[in-house]
Amino acid sequence: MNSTIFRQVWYEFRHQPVSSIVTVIGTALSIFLIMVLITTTSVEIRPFGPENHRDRYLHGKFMHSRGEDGEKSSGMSLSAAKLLYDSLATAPLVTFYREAQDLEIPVSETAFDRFTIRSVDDNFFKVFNFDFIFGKPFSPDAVKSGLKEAILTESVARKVFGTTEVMGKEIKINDAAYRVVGIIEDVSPLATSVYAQIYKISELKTGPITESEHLYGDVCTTILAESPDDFDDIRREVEERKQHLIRVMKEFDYELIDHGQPFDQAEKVYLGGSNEGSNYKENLMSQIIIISILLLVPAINLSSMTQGRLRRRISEIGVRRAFGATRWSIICEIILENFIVTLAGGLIGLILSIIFSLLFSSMLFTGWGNIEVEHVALTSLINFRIFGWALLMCFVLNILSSGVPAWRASRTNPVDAIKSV
Amino acid sequence: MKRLFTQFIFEWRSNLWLVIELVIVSAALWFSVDYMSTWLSIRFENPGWDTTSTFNVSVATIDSEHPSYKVPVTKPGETEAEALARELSEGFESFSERLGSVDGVEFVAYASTHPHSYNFSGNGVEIITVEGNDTTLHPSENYFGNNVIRVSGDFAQVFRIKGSFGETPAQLDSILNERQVIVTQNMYPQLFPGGKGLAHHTINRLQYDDNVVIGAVIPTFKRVNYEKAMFATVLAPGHYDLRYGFSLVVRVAPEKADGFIEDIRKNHPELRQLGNYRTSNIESLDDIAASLDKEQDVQLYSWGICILFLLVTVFLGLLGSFWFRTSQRVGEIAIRKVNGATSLDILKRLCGEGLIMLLFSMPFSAALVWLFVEMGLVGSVYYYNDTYVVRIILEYVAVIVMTALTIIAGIWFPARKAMNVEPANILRGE
Repeated sequence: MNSTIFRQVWYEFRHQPVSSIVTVIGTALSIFLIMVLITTTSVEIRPFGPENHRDRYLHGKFMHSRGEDGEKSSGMSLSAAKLLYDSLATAPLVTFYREAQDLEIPVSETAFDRFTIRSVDDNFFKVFNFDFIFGKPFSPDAVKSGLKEAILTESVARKVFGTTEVMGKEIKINDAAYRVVGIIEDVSPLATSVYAQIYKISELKTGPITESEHLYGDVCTTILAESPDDFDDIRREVEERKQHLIRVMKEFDYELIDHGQPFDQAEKVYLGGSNEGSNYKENLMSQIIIISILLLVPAINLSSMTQGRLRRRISEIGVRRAFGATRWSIICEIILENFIVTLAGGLIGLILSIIFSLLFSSMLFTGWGNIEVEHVALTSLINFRIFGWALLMCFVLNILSSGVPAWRASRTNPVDAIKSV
Repeated sequence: MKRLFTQFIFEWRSNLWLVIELVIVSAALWFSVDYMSTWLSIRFENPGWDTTSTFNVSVATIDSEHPSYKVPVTKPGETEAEALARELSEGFESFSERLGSVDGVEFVAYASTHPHSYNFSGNGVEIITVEGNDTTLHPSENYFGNNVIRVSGDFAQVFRIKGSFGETPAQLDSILNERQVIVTQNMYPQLFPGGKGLAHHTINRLQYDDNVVIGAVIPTFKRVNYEKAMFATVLAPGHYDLRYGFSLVVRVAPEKADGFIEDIRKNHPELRQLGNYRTSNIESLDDIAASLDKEQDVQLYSWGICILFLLVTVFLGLLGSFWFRTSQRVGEIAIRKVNGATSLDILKRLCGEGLIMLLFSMPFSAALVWLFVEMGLVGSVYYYNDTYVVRIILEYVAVIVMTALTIIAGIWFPARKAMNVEPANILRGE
C-alpha cells in the first residue's frame, strides 16, 4: 500500500514534471512565509534564556492616572509597584527592576563607550535564569544595604578590562565605583524584559504615595507564577491591591485608569503604550488572517492543478471503484499522495525559513530598544514546536488543496469512467 | 472575443478556482499596496527639519550623594541650594560653550525635545489679538491645543528650519533670541489658513500664563518619520528644567560627523564632567531615527514580501494550470493552426483566456475592496481623507495592471509550448 503510493507519486512527478515542480514550489513558498511569521512571533513569546519561564511570567509596567490637571501615563514608581505586587500570597517570586538605560562608561583613562545598564534587585536573578561564568547573583543583604555592586556581561568585561577574570575589580558607572561580583554570558536583545550589558543593585527606597508624582517612575515588575494556572488567582489578588491604590489616590483626587495589568508574555509583547492596554487579540486576529491568506491562495492554486491531474486518472479511479474500492479509500489515497508532495514542499519551505531567519535576523527581529539582533539562537528556530507548526500547516494546506478534488474524483461513476477509456 | 467567453463558460468548473484565487489575490494585493503606498508617502513627506550631521548630547546633574559632587561655593546671604541652582545655571552656559568649541561643531542649542522623538510636552494657547483688536472668537474656538518645545541658542540653525515666508534659519534664531515664539503654520487654520497673517499676533500660553508675540511661522514639522506633520507646535525661548537634566542638540560639519562621538569620548574629558554636570549619552539623530523607524521599516518589508508572494503565487498557479491545459488541448490547437491560426493567434488566445478570468474576478474583488474600505481596513487612517476614493481607485487599477502582467507572464511559457505544436504530427495521431 505504502510503496504503491510512493510509486504513484514518483510516476506523477516524472510524467507531469512542470505541474509537480510548481506544486512543490508553491507549497514551499507558502510554508516558508508562514514559518517566518510563526518564528518571529515565537521568538518574542516562547521561553528562552534568560527569560526561561515566559509561560509563567506576569508583567507590570505602566501607570495611567487622571486628575484635575488632566491625564498622565508613564512607568511606575517603586512605591506604586511595591504596593501592587510585593509579597503576593499567590506567587512565590516577584522582582522589581528598572528600565534599562544607555550610559557612557569609561573604558580607559581617557576613552568612553556607551553601554546598556539596568538596576535590579536580588530576586531578578531567581526569576530570570542568567548563565554565570564567574561569581554569583547579588545577595539579599547586598541589595538591602544598597551596596555598589555590578554584574557584567562577558563582552563588557572584555571591552573594559580586556579579560573576564575581573571579580572584585571596580567599574565606574556615573562616576561612582561599583565592585564587580559576577560575569554572565552576553544577553540577547531578544530578551526584551531583561536585556542589559551591565546590571547593578537598584535603590529600594520607597515612600508613601501622597501626590501624583509619587506614582510615576521607571520600575518594571515581573511575577513568576508556580504555573500558568495560577494567573487568575494572582490577577484577583492584584485587583484587591488596585482597590487599595485607588483609595490611596483618592486622597489627592486622582483616579487610576486600569488597562488590565499584569500582562502575560504575549500581552506584553503587544503593549501599545503606557496609556493603552495590550493589542494582543487584534494582532493575533491579523496574524490569523495573514496565515489564512498564505494558506488559502496557494491551496486554490494547488487544488486547480490537483483537479487537472486527477482528470487524467479518471479511468484508473473508475477501474479501482469497479474492483470494489470504496469512495473513502479513494479519497484517503489521493489525499495521502498529495500529502507526500506537500510534505516535500513544506520541508523545503521550513529549511528556507530557518536559513532566511539566520541570514536576515537583523531585519526580521526587533530587540530591546530596537537594537540590531546580530544572531538568533538556533534552538529558537529549530525545535519540536516549530516542526509541529510546519507539519500542521502542511496538513491544512493539503486538506484545502486536495480535499475537494479527491471528493469529486471519488464520486466517479465506474461505468462512465471505464467507457471513456 | 465571444468565442473566448463561450469557452470560458464551457470550462467554468476548472476556471472557477482560478477566478476565486484572483478575487482573493486582487483584494489582498490592494490592501498591501494601500498599506505600502500610504506609509511610504508619510515616510517621504518633507519632515520640516534636517537632522543629517546632528547629535543629541544628554547632560545629567550630579547629586549631592555622588562621589564626584562638587559642593557649591556660596556667596554671602546665599544658601547651598541657591548656590547650587546658580552654579548649575551658569554651568549650563559653560557646558554649551565648551561643546560649541569642539572642532567641527557649527551650532549648539538647548531643546526640551528633538526631532525623532514622541516626547513632546502638550500645552494650550489662546489668541489675544487679531489684527490688533481684541479677539472676536468664541471662547471655545479660541483655545488651541499644541505641543511646546523649549529652545535656546541656535535651534533653527541646528535643524535648518526655514520660515513659511522665506525666513532663514539664522533669522528665526534671532527672533527666538528676541524672546518671541515661533509657531507652526497649522495653528488656527480657519483664521489664518497656511499661517498667513499669523505672525505678530499675541497668544497666551495657558500652562505658563504668559503673553507672547508670534515672531514667525514655520511649516508644520513631523515628530517622527512615520507620522504625518500634524501637530501644531510652539517653539518657545526657554530654559532647561534642572529636575530632569537637559539635552543639547548640535550640528556638526558633514566631514566631522562620522567621528564626532568618538572624538568627544576620546579627546574631550572636560565634557565628561563640568561642575555638577556630566554627559550621560551622545547619540546621532539619524541613529535615533533608524532605531525608531525600524519596526515600521520591517512592516513595510513584510508587506512588500506579501505583494511578491501573491504575484508569484498567481504566476505559479497560471503556469501550472495552463501547462496542463495546453497539453490536454494539443489537438484543438493543431486544428486551429491547420485552419490558418498563426502562433501569435494561439498566444493571444491563451493570454486572452487568462485575462477574461481576471475580468470576471474584477466585480467581486472590487466589491471586496470596497467592503474593506467601509470596514476601515485601510493601510493608514492618516490617509482616510477627502481624496481617499481617488487613491483607492488608482491603487485598484495598479493592482489589476500588476495582476494582468503576472497572468500574461504565467501563461507565456505554456503558450510558447502551444505555439510550437506541429499540426501534422498531432493530427496524424488523431
